[in-house]
Amino acid sequence: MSLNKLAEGDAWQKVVSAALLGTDRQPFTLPTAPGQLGQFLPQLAHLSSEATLLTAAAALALHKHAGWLPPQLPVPAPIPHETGEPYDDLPRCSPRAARLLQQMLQGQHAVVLPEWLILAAQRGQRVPELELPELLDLGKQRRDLRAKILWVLGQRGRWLAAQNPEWKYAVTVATEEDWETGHQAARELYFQDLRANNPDRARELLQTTWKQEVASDRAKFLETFSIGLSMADEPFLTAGLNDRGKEVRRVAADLLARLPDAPLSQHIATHTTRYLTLVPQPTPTLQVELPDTLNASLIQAGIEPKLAQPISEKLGEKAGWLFQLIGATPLTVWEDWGMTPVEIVALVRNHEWEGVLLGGWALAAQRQQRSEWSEALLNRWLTENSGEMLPGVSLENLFEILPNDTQDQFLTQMLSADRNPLSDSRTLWFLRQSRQEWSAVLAHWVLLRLEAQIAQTAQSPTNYSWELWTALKDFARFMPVSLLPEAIKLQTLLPAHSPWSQSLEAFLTLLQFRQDIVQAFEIAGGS
Amino acid sequence: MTLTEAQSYQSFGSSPQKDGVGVVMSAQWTSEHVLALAPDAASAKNGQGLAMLNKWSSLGQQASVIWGECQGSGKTPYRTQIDVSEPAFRCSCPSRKFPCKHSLALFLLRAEHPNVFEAKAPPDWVTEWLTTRSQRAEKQAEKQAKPSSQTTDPSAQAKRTAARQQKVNAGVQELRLWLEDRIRQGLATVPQESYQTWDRVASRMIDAQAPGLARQVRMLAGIAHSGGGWSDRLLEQLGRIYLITEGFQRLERLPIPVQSDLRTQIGWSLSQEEVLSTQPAQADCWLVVGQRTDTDDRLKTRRTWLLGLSSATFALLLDFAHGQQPFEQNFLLGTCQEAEFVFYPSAYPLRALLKTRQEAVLLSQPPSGADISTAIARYNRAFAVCPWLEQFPLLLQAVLPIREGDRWLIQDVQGVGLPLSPRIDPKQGWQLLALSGGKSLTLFGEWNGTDLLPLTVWLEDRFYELK
Repeated sequence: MSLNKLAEGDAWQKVVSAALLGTDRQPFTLPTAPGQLGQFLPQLAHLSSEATLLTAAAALALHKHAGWLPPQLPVPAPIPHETGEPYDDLPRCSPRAARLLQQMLQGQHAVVLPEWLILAAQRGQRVPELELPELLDLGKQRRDLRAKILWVLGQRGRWLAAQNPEWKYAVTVATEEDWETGHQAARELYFQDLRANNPDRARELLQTTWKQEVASDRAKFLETFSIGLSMADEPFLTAGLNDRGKEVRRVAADLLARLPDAPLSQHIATHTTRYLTLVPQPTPTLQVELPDTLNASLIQAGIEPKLAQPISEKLGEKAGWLFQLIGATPLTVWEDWGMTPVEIVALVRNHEWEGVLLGGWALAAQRQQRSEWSEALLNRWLTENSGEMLPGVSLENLFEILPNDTQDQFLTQMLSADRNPLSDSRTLWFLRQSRQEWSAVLAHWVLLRLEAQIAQTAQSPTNYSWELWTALKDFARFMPVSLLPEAIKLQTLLPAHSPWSQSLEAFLTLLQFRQDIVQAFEIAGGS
Repeated sequence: MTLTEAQSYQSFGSSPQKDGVGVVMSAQWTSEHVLALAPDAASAKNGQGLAMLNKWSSLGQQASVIWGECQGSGKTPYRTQIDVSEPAFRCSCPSRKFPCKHSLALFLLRAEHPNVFEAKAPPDWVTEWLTTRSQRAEKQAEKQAKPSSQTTDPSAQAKRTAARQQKVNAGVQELRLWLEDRIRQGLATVPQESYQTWDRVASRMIDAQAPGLARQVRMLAGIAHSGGGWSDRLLEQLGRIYLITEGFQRLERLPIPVQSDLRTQIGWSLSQEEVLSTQPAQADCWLVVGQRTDTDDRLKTRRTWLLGLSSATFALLLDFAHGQQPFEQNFLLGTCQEAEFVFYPSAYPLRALLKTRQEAVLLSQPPSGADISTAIARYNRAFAVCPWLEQFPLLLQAVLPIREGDRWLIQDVQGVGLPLSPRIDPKQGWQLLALSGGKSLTLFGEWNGTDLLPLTVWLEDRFYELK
């Protein structure tokens, strides 16, 4: 700062002090100032003290203001007309696609944002500049969207993310350093990623710190082994059966039960097959004995001597043991009878121990991720509507194991068989659980059933399902957009003041919005 | 003004005759332009929700007029029509917002699906609107042609002026005494005083028919409670008000433009009719370079900055509207119009009124700006002749946004920096950075002497409004 400026600032401070104090307490004396300002100020001396002060204040403020110069910044100046790598490796999405994205970022129809991101990625397009900050902010909270967001950022988006520590997720991957020194959440995240990409390395890494981890963390890390689980994990898991932590032992046993080839599974299988025998003649029947005792090796393998409620109310002690043994036995053991899962499941129809057997197999199917068994069991319980079901058996988990196409077929079967399937809450749950768009066949059935439901309500207005009413909007996420015209026809069937109109409107609006997204990507992208 | 600007406009402005213009423009309207017209965020959201083809029927267009019917909750559909050349809107819905969500939706459809608008003869309800519009335009033209014919008796006018002069003089005297009294007592206890202290003085100034002074006094209340450094800011503002009164007392001895500026500060400026009838019109191709709307207690004030491409002069249009009333005229960012403006007399004329305008065309090339030092030097010169400038237009070329903790700055290729307004949303700062991608851009904003409020950014062949 120049000396003149300092002197000027000093003059101003004197005026401010005098003004704060008041001229009643102390008459105002004009400060001195350099240059022309200094020549001007004394001309005010003839005025009253107050007038002099106010005028001097005005003059000094104006003088300072009019002479202000913008500062040279300490950072290096930008280079004019930069050349080098172009930032935009991907073309910008169309303006229409951009607007739809903006709408979703503002919370409208946000459920279908993943679809937008996937379409943009498929077309190799990027998010426009103005939407980048909000999208990156969203990824900060929505871990599940991050991978998809990364696809559409483009080089510019990644450059931007690198400028803001809060968007670090978009540019840096977690490293082994995070594992060693990071806080717990970062460590878990890193471990999960590593399990997905290099499960052996993950296991080795965990072994290096295993003894230092507290029991609850040990259990948590061990649970992550369900990602990329293989026989290579077996020795480590078997060692886990002797862990001090009870939860660690439980997780280890559960994981081992998912490995049919593990010696532990084989050990349990030798026990289980003692109690289940196939008598092939004259018609194949299953002979079942209950175990008398539970030996120590089985307890160590994770078989609980006492089951928890509510299943314990339904099963006696020994039946409970058998249920657990079957649940921990490789399903291949039963397939060795030379029968398919469907045939095996059919064997126990009306069997004395039907519930125990089906329940045990359901547990095994979940653990071993065996979709053929899941399908056989689901069909038995749902489409055939038969078979005793133990409490705690999760049909939802069985359904989740099914591959996408099988899920679709299974749902088609349910919808085509039952006369009023959309009033059943489980069917609705399954429909909303879909991981991908429904097949045209399934979608047709849904529309057909919806139509029937609407017609029923028209006849007797009290006959309408609240659950379907709330589920309907979700259906728009799975309905192929090509069926929009047919879906719109439903609206023409609605009588005036139908209880369905609002829900159907929401359904159609979302479906229309999805069609808009699809169309927005069919137009050629921007630049 | 550089040659490139004129050339770029000319190659652009050689657009065909009136009928063709709508077609030429349609390709350039983008959703962003349309959404920028929304009166509020809710309207923008609802408009987007309705911008779906299945909600509309009978879409059609003729020349620059488009129309369609939108099925609402009622029995009869709403009839919506737009003249995209201005743009002007009309809708049969009862909404008080303007443009309403239907108008926005229809305009969005036009921007995004131009092909669905069939060229055909307009239905009666559209023709009717077009007729009333052209009649109104004729009337307006007539009115403007003979503005002074209705002036009342000059002696009565003189009497009224004299009466007001007396009132204002008394008000100015009273204010001076009050200011001097404050200084006599000292300012130390000011932050403990209630807002009423200032309100009382402000309403005295309203009574004295000096609303400009009332506004200046009200600003004192905010400054007194503005925290650290309040005493400097308060004294600056007190000095400023005192200077206005000082100048007003010797008004006749000052040059005419300075008189006019002082009158504006008092709040006794010329009426629009007086400005239009007494000041010369300035014709140019005016490019809308920035726009912002502030709402204060239901009064919406819209500031539209235009740059004359041949004269390199800025013009500021102020529009006011109450509540959800629409603004009378629409100026779209990035559009360029042959127009005549009339400036309010001032030592540094900025505020202007529209006299005549032709149809607007979009111009997406950036106008050429200055570097920071040149632009600030321009401001300093302007400030020296007109120290009442509150917002000064800065059009800056090749600047780079920079973040410094929570603050945002811009820097030009000479390394000179300017702080951006602390009022900008952090998201806007990041948007600015995203647009730049580390490369320099052209930026327009309002400089208040302390910081810059960015309004518009140009980058390559696009421009962006920062909201």
